[in-house]
Amino acid sequence: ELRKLSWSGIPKPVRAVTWKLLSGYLPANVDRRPATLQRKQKEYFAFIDHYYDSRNDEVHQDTYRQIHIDIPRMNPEALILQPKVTEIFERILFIWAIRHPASGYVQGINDLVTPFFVVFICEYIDDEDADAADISRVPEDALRNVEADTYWCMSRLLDGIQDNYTFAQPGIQMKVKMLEELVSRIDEQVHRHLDQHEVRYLQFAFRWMNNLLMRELPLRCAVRLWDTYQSEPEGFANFHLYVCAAFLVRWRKEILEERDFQELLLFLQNLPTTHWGDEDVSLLLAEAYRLKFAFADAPNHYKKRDPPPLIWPWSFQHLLGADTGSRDTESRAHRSCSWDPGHAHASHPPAPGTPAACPPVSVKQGSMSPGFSGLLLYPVLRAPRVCLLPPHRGACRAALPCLSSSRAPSLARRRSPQGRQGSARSHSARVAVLKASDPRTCFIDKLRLSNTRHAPAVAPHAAGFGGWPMSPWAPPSTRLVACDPCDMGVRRARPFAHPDGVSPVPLSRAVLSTPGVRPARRPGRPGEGRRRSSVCSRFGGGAQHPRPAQLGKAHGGAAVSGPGLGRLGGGALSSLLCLPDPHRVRPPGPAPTPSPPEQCPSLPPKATHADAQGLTLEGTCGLSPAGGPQGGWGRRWSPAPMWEPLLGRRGQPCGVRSSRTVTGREEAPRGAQP
Amino acid sequence: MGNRAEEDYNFVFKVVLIGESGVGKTNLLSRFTRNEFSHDSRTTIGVEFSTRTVMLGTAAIKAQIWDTAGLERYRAITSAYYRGAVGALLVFDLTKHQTYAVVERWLKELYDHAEATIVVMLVGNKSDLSQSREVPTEEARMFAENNGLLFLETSALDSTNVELAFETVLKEIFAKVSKQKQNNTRTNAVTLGGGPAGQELGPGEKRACCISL
Repeated sequence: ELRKLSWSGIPKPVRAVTWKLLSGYLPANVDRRPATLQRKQKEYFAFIDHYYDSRNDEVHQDTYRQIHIDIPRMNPEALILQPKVTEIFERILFIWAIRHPASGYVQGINDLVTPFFVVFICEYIDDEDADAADISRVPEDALRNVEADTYWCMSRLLDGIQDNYTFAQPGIQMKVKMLEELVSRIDEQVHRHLDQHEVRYLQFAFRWMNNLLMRELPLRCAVRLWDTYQSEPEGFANFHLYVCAAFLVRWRKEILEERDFQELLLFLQNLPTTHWGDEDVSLLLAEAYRLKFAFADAPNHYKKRDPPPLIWPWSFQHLLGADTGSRDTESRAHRSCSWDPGHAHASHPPAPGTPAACPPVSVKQGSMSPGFSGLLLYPVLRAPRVCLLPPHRGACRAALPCLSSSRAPSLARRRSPQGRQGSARSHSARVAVLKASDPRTCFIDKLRLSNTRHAPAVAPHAAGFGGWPMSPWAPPSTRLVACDPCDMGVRRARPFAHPDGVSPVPLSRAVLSTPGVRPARRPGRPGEGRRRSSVCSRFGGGAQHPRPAQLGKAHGGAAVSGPGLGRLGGGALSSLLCLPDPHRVRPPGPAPTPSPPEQCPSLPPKATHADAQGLTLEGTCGLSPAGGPQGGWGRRWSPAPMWEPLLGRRGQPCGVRSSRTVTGREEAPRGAQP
Repeated sequence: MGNRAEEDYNFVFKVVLIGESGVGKTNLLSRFTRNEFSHDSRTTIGVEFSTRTVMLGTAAIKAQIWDTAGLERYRAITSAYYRGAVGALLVFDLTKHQTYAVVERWLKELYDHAEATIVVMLVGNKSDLSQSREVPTEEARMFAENNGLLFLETSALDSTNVELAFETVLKEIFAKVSKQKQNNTRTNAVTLGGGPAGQELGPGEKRACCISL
């Protein structure tokens, strides 16, 4: 409640106590406050007794000297240069530095003391202008209180952003990078302009991050800004990023007017904010809030520069049946893949068979983005076609692809649980959009695969995936396997460890393969099959787990015979993603043929969570749900009727090791073929 | 020597200011580019940047000066800015011996990240505080000579030698560039050493081509 109220600014009389509460320093319980304050104060002054004398020791003298020469160089001078204040600052900073040896004192931290000090000292002086308040009038006791309060609140703040100040300042480097990504999304023009003139974000935004904009804004504005930071969860660490983005874009007109590197940089390093008041900050914060709302849960919004995603545009084309002339899987397999991502365009996908440059192979675990704890898979394979989510703890879940759309206006509708009817509609809309729009993102459980190369041209909201809610989709854990139907580039893929500590599955090994293709591509690679089956065995930790290879075969087969889906990637992908292949879309109801019948004998219920949500799972789904409800979702899964035919041999243990024995591969769903 | 219209320059030279924290780098820069001095100028965070165009003979030289933070923790960030620099002012505080004692380390760092042909001047700043001098002029001069550096003592406070220091460095760079230009038939992309350094621009041309960060 207090946070909510504080967000839009705290009135001066209660600011001090509110800050103490919000920083978690002061207990909410009124009765406990005096005791806590006293204890904390005692603790702080014990530190001083203990450490402060060591400031001239050899070990600490560098720290102290640095603090000593920095403090007089702070703002507001009228306040800081009073000897008593200087001493207080020196003590606070020195004690903090000594007690946090990982970072120690770094310039910039000193600026973070000022707002606390100014706000707390205002409790004892009634000057309008705290910048020049005369401290000598404040009683000694009160100063001690202020000093201790300031120390503890500053410590709390710094605890949240300590990696900004440790060696090489990784926190800042990361945030500047994120800022760059974010700005490239929200204002491509500004981003391009800066880029064009070779202005690097680090050249101006480093200070923004290092000093939390204290240098860019007048103190009164910084204090107002901090009202909000304190009321935002992780405001200083996280929300600050959005504020910086809003701050940069705030100057877009001026930035775009500057046509010269030097002028740009001079401007960016000396932004004209001296006249700023609360209103400007409020505007800035509102804009930042909007950005956060749109982008915070969509890390791919600022992942533009990451390696190209697993799913390539032409994969989608496959899905959409655009790749009609590519049944000659054999011959395609012989061609080298050299699709150049740089030329990729949704509307001009390279001819399906064109040789393709192999994107770098990498698997990234986790994401740096807040609120995203899943896995990001980047092109793992040289020609990645398929990805699927094999089971984790028995859960095989190919949740929905949420293909973002610049056309689909109703993001909200898609976000919310929908009736199947509605979802079917939106699904086809999505597919249509897929064809037309550039930005696209697939979320598969916690995994997001995105193809956002072309996204910047589209407005953020149009880009569509603003804050796709993870919760309904994301199972607590999901294991991911990327499959390459051609078994290309497999060896380059690295195993990845699941965040849950599940034994890593070699990403590369769960290969969907078309027997006819692979050997042709890689003649004389003995042992491949062996390796694959070993993967299978690894997968088969539980009897319910579908064997990936088996899955793969099945998918592969399905896709191979799929209409216009090229080799198998498209089909498998579409089924995995539960994307209705245009050729296969049919009204809900029993599917003509379960897609690969052998596959996914036991897909756990979580797999269909999306379905439970009423989200679109139609068409041939390669991953069939089965099993009972599983915990963790607070929701009981029951297979939708349309899933029944897809369930394959539900519950059948995946005992078959040799995936090569899978038969019926060619019996892929054809019912809906045109 | 004076400021010409900013738009008009033939060369852009990137110069970095390096040295320990608190030796007066920022004030040297502000004295040179804006003729200002502040007793309590704020600490430099990361790098800051300023430019000034000076005339050397008939050539207009735009000095693009990067003022780096002296703090150790910022070294990872700031050393990236040495790249492409054709000149450097290595500043120490002649009233604090400690800032002089680490000059060698700074030099090494500079040569690690910048071209070997970079023009370096050792600058003993705060010469107005002669009563509390801790570094004898001769000692610093000897060091500079032994290491092939230019040397000057300056005071940003009373402007002593500030212009001279920057101009000397720029002249030296200009001389190097001109010499190389004579040896090199190419008229554009004049470089010192291997990397892109100063670059000739057509008169009135505005683009700064030598930025190579």
